[in-house]
Amino acid sequence: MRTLCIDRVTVVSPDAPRAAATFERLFTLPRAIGAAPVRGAALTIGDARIEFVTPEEGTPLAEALRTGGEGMAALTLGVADLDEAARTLERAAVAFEVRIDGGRRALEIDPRAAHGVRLTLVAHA
Amino acid sequence: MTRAALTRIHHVGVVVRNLEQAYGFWRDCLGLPVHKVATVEDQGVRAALLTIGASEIELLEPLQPTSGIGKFLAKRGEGLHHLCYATGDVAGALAAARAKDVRLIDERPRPGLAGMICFLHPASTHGVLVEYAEPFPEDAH
Repeated sequence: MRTLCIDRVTVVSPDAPRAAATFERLFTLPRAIGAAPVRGAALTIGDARIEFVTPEEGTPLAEALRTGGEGMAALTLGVADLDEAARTLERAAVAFEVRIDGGRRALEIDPRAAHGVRLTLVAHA
Repeated sequence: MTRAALTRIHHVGVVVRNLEQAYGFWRDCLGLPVHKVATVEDQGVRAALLTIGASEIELLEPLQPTSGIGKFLAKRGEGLHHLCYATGDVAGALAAARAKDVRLIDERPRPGLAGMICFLHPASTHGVLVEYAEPFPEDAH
C-alpha cells in the first residue's frame, strides 16, 4: 500500500464552530475552501486539514465525544490507490468497511486493528 | 509569514502498547517507513516516527505504567494522543501562544524526538493536546 499523506484530523466538539474559531484564532490557520467536502468546519495546515464536527447521535464519533470528551477523535489518510489499499487490508486480515465519506469512497478501518485509532483511508486527490 | 508560523502537521501521536506489534499495522500494512526510533527516558516512552508525506505518525509505547503515556494507556487504551504542528521557531510560536493566554504545559522549549518541542494544555484547545516542534536540521523534510 502507498499511503501518501495525512488528509485530515477530526476534532469532535459539542460546539464545532466555536472549536474551529478557537483554532483559527490561536494558530492563525485559514479556513479550508474549495477542498474536498468535510463534515463540519475545516481549517487548512500545509496539505492537510483539521475538521471540527459535532457528531450526530448514534454515530461512532458521538460515542467518542461521549466517552472521551471533546478532542481529537479520528484520522484520515490519503492513499495512492484505494482498490489496492482494500486488497492489502484483506490480505492482512484487517477488518474494514467501505463508506461514502464527504462524497468520496472511503475505507473505514476497525479501530481494534489500528491500535484504537478511528482510521479512514481515502484516495489522495 | 514569520518563522514562528505553523506550517504543517509535523506528526500525529498515537499511544500503543508495544511498538513492535504496532509496526505490523502502521509500517507493514500501511507501508509507512520508520524514520526514527528512540527512548525518551524523561518522558517514560519509547517512540517511533513513521514518515507519511510531509508529516509523520509518532507511535508511543510507555516504559512504565506511571509515566504520562502509561497513565493515558491505562485510562483510555490505545489511540490518538496529540497533534503536533511544525514551526521554524518553536520559542516564537510558544511566545505567541502565551500572548494569546493559552495555558501552557511547557514554559520553554525542550528537546524531544521531533526536535525542540513544547506542549500546550488541552484545556485551551478544546481537549486537543497540541505540540509545537522545530525539527532538528538533520531531520528537516
